[in-house]
Amino acid sequence: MRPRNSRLLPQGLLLMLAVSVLAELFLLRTATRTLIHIPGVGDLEAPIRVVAEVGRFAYYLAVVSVTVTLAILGLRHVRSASPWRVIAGVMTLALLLIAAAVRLEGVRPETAGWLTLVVLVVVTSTTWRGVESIPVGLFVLGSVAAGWSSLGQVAGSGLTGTQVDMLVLAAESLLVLAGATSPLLLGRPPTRSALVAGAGATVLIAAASAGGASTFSIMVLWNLGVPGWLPGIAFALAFGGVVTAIWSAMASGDRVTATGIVLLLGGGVGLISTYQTGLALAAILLLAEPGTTHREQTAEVGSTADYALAGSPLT
Amino acid sequence: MRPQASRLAPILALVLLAALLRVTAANPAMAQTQSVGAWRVDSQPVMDGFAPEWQSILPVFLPTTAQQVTPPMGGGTVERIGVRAVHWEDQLYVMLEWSDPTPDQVSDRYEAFSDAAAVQFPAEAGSDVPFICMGQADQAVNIWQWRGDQQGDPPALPDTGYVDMYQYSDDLYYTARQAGNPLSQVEDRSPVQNLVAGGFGTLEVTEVGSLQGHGEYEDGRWTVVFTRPFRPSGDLQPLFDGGTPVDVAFAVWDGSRQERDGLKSVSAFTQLTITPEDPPRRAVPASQDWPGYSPPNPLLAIGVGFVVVALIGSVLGWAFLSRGKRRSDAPEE
Repeated sequence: MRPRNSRLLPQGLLLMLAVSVLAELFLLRTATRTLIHIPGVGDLEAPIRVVAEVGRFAYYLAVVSVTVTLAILGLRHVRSASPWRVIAGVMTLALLLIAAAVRLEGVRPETAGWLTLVVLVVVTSTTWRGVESIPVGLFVLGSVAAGWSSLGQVAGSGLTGTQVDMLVLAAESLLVLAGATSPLLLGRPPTRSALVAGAGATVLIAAASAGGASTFSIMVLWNLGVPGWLPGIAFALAFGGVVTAIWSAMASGDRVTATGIVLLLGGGVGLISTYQTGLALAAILLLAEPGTTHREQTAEVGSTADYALAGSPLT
Repeated sequence: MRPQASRLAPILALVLLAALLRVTAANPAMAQTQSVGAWRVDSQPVMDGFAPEWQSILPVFLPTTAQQVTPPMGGGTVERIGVRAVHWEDQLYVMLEWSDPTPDQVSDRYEAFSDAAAVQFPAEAGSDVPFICMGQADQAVNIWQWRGDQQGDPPALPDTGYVDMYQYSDDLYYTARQAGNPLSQVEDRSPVQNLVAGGFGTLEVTEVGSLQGHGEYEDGRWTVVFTRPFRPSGDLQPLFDGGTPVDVAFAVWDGSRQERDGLKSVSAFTQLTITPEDPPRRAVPASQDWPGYSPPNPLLAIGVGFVVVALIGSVLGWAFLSRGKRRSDAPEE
């Protein structure tokens, strides 16, 4: 078993990031939009407000956490001996500057959007690790297609409607492919229980989608940045792959991989917000970390030479 | 004890920072979604979306999907909407364009439904984005809806039609009209409705005020132009001040494909930015934007094929990786 390096980030920060993103995803982006189905919603207004408020706080906590995470990961890569990792680190820090600049209206949103896509592509390329990186590569290609479909419309003479369709469909297909292949991130076959869980999730989503009684499509549009044109079975397969990967990672104590996949889910493809782009970039960096053997993990304990920030107060 | 405290202190600091940002509503993140520019124009825009002054503006295309949140669910027959927006003398104009093979402007039978289009804003511009389907309990939305069957005079009775005479003329006996249903009025008809909602089942009509809308059908396409002054005429309607981008979402209905109510094609929320710049122009034939548009079903099959191939590839990948890992881990054991 080769879980990714769990000392990559301060453990408290990694946990807080994962929990806050999950809370934001399920409470703010999902629960507040689906609890409304409960009969007698008028009587539930107060609880819904509470859930929404908790979700909003989780959102702000996730924004703060991902900013600090990116800063730490960027600095770690900049101090690396590998020139490729240095480039990835510089790009990561550059994204933080771009996000700040667009917030302060120091750069046009379109310019920031194109730069963001460049950062995602460069970081993915410089941290590429072969077969294990395929799902991340597909995800980033999907982001480029989705980002291009929106940015390209306001650049030059714009895109024609047909071109927009093709780019959006490409983004959606690549997102589905990334989800379906996500078990490759594990670097080993998933556990048997994870396969069962993934198959169950696939059947559940496929059945709900076929029955038409699903909020899945609208949630895909809202959360993942694609319109859900592909058949429900495609998303069911992708979701099954994601469940398999997360389940297997958690079962084998690979918290970094599990967190990385959660961050990809929270990020979505394309350009939705600087926060969600930050989640995607943090995921790319976390999932690019090589797996460590037990011997390597044992050697890491007490060593601050390789992981200078492991001794920070956040650990 | 002390190491424990030193570990918790930075976490606590981040939590407090997040709380401070929440209380002050200072969001460090910024939306990067597709933005629709509302450009400045020098003369009053016409309400015909097929006019060259509209068609030459660079459109923003937004993908749409079926509404699948609350019954009646479905629709999604329109897969893309083109959006253009301008402003003139503190008045906002938004033009929607979409492909529709049949114009449906008469709903004179129970099974006949009208084409329609809608624009949705958060009731308070610049607030958090509300739930796209009718908003939510703590965040209302304002919806402008145009209906084809409400534009122009009520349809005349066809030659072969027959209606029972009704002996009462008092409005009291026309219950829908008496209750204020805007679709039942015979005077002061308007093709647009101004609606507000704070969740499912809370949609209600409010004064149309100075909201206007007009649709035109040509060559298999609808264009609908909405316009309203920046300053709203009532509560729960956004003020367009030009400084803050406004979240906006769109929906269209194709009546001949039985779309009505929740059966429709909806976009995600995007942002509308009122800008002092002139609109970017282009000269692209409509055929390149709306080429006899039909859903890309053959491509869906290709997409599914890709997924299948990817799954097979994944299995092969696992086998390959596990063999490699066993080999590399062997000396360690």
